Amino acid sequence: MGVQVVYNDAGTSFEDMSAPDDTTLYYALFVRNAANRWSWGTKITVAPAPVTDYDDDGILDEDDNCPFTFNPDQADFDGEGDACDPDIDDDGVLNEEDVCDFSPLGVSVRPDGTFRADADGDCDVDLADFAVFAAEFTGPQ
Amino acid sequence: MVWTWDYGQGDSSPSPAAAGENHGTAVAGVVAGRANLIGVRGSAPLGGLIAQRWGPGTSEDADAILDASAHGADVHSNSWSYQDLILPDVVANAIRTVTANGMLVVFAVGNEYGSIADNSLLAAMPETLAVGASTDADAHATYSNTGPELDLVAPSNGGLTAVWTTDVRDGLFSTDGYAVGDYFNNFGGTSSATPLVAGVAALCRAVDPALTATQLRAVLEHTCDQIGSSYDGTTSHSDTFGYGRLNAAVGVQAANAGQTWPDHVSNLSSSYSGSNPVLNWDNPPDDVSTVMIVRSLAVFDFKPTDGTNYSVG
Repeated sequence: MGVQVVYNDAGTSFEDMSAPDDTTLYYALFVRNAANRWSWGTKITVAPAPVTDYDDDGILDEDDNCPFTFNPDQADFDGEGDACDPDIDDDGVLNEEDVCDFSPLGVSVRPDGTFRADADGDCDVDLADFAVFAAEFTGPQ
Repeated sequence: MVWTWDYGQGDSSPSPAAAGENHGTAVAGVVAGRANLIGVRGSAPLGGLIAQRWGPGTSEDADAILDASAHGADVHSNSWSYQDLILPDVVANAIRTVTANGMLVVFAVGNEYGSIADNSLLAAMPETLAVGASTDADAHATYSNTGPELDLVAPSNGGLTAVWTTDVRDGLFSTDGYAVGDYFNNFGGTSSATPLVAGVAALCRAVDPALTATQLRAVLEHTCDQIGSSYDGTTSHSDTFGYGRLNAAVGVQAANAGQTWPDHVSNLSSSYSGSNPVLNWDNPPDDVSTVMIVRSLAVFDFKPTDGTNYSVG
């Protein structure tokens, strides 16, 4: 790739959103006047973006699902790192108000975060829930 | 003389007042020697001359610069520098003020065989035109300081010949001048190159009075001859020659044709927004339409062609 014009405007700042990552970039700026004559060039060399691990959890920021929260296990229940996710199971109930932080994704939940198939309210669906359910039909009338 | 003042004695006679005050007369001859077939001819032989005698004292330095502008000077020629590396704010601010008002301030870069940054902070100011010396063979005069602050060079001594100019006449038994009589045939240094450039700047202003100080500097820079080598392929600059050696004829013809060039950007810096590079810069004070940025993944040489527009992509 040769020299490419990446900006032609009247400002004093430019964010290069088309810049390739992880490589040194060479820029030159030229001023044009109304008579269409050009100034001398002014050059600048830009080194690759620094690689950092802000939260020092051993995962580089660009790969870290919580770059500002220490979470070396990178646990992720719903597509957003659990350690920095205010609603881990994405059920619309914030973790601090959610009885069941890990409700199955997509299930309908009650205002307290419990879900309907969990008849005994232990945040799990198992035989115990079935027993509660069956008792609803077989118990004394 | 358009106007004269002696800041030391507080009168209008700036003539040498002590032995050894010969530098100003020699400098003045290079720029303002009359075209009268007598003696020497300066680079602006029909130009008006403001003569000032002052110093030492930073407030006098600033006053002299401000007063020259107030009395209508187009160019202020300075073949001096401070001995220490302190740039007085009062002088720097005076230079910025007069530059904004249209007076071009020209400074010699000095003769220390060293760097401009270490020897002439006034020449290093972005507002001033920093002048170095070349020889009669279009080579670098080795004494002439160098660096990125250098704007251009002009002929002086350092080769086979030196500069003829006016001289303080000796008294019968004194040694006030450089030589006996009214003229001196061995003047030089960046002290001589500087008034030579100042005179050509005055000629450019004479044919195009609308030129700002920044435009005037750019006309001189863009019409130089690139003597020697070591010019950068993108900035067109050489730390040894600046943008080249003064070409009076081409410069004045360009000014006469109304040609102007914008100054380059300044204070260019980079940072990051996430993984995206961000560039910030300051535009020149005038004559700016657009700024173009080119990018490459490798070191490159590129100069846009006057008259040509370029598109992103």
